[in-house]
Amino acid sequence: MAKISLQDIRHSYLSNPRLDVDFALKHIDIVFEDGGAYALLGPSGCGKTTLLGIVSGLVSPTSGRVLFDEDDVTDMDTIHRHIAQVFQFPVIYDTMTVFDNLAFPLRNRKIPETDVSSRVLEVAKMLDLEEGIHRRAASLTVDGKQKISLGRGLVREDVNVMMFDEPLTVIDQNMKWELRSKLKELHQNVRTTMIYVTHDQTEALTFADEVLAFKPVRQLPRLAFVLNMSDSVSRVSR
Amino acid sequence: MISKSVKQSAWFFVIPVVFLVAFNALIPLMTVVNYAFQETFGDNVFFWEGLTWFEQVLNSDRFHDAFLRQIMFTSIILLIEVPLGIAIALSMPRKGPWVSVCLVLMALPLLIPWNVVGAMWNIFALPDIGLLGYSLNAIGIDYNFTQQPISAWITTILMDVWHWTSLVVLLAYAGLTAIPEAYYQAAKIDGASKWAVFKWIQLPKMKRVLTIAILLRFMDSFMIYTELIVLTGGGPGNSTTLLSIDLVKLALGQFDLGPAAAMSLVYFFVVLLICWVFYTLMMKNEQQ
Ligand SMILES: Nc1ncnc2c1ncn2[C@@H]1O[C@H](COP(=O)(O)OP(=O)(O)OP(=O)(O)O)[C@@H](O)[C@H]1O
Ligand SMILES: [Mg+2]
Repeated sequence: MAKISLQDIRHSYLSNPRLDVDFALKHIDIVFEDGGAYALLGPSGCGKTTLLGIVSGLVSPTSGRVLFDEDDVTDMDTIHRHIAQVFQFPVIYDTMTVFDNLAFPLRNRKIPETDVSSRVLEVAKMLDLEEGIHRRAASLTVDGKQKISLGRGLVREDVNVMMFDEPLTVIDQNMKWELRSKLKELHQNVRTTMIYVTHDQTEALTFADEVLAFKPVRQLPRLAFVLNMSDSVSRVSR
Repeated sequence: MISKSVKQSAWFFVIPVVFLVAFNALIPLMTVVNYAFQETFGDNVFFWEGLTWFEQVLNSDRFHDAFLRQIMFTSIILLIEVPLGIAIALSMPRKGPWVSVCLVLMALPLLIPWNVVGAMWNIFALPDIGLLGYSLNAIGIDYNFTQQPISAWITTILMDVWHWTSLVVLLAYAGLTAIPEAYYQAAKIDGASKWAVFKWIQLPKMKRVLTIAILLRFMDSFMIYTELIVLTGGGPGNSTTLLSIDLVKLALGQFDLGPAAAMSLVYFFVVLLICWVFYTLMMKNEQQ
């Protein structure tokens, strides 16, 4: 667990950016406090996914620094950053069973099999994946697959931050509400830092203690204002 | 239940296809069937022979030997070309200017006419004047594909690998580029090693194209003729006489049309059967 600071981050997908519009992220300075639940809110194309990529190391910023606590991790690769990230569309390993999918991140990190098994069963129970856990993951419906993706993020206990990139897009309405409350509940239990990307305001407000909003795309895509709504909003959501 | 009225007239629309298939597949095949069950002495006079030719072919050592050589050849080239093709596809760049260069280089061997491939390798491998043959002998390896069966086999296999690995490469590459970036990102987050990425993402996603690649390579290599007849002509002795060469020797060399027709049918059904079994197995696996 760590405090995550982004210092003066700029990012462009072009190899040789000159104009302001070449940048997907113009100038970002944010601190994610250890244990916070954050929502990143903003319209399509404003750079939310890019920002998560920079935190997880999938994208290396054109300039600026990423700190975990006091350590500069800007050049560290994804695996050593100990982060979990869930993408918008389900990514599953088709040929594995549901169980093996959930166990995959743990087994790659050489966690003893008894711990793997108990951890996987716990997460499967939380996400209602217990039934058919030994079936092939490819046979599940889209929501089932997305739950597996979520589950692979949740099984790991050692993570610095869990990031969710519009994870509920493909999930149906009732289940969305339920899963969001589960995430919220999980956050209250384990107190891992969570960053939740969405362009749905309600979703942002129900999940997060703090909502960071991006301005609309064609204007400066930089963090425009930061709302600290922990008190007022969390009451509204219940 | 409400019963639908069935209009039989729809069948008329199928007629063109029936004719097409009849004229380019069934009728030519029927002439082979004709010869396979009858004896003829010309003048369109036929005598019924039943299964005699089939018995003769299936019991002959000559057929067994050619068949075994064929199985050995096809297995060897599949075992080399498929892994090699995958390895090359994996090491090709996924984007950038080099992509088109690599693709063109890879496609080149496929564009060369088959008899030219045979002629190229024949000259390349000649022990006295060919670059390969001469160099091997110069460094002290006794190599002469016109005299030694082992050398002939090695040359034949090298030629096929050179000619056809590209096909596997191109298909595997197409499969690889179709994998969304998110899979690789998820694998990084999950801490997967390169080998795990290959085993759990790349290989499963390439499965369909590889099935096609293996089927194509199986069928083509099982029917290899042109390159081989130019390179070795089936020799030395009978050592590289694979099925199709044997068939042609039987039909045109000796003019034994009956046994040759029977052998053609056996040959055809073997190819069909192996393809069907392989395809069914691969697809059954898919559905679980
Ligand atoms: N791999 C890439 N290569 C080039 N440009 C990219 C790439 N990924 C994103 N971009 C561009 O960067 C900008 C920000 O994209 P990003 O995906 O971060 O937005 P987003 O806020 O996550 O949008 P969405 O809500 O649609 O997911 C967009 O203009 C997009 O076109
Ligand atoms: Mg996005």
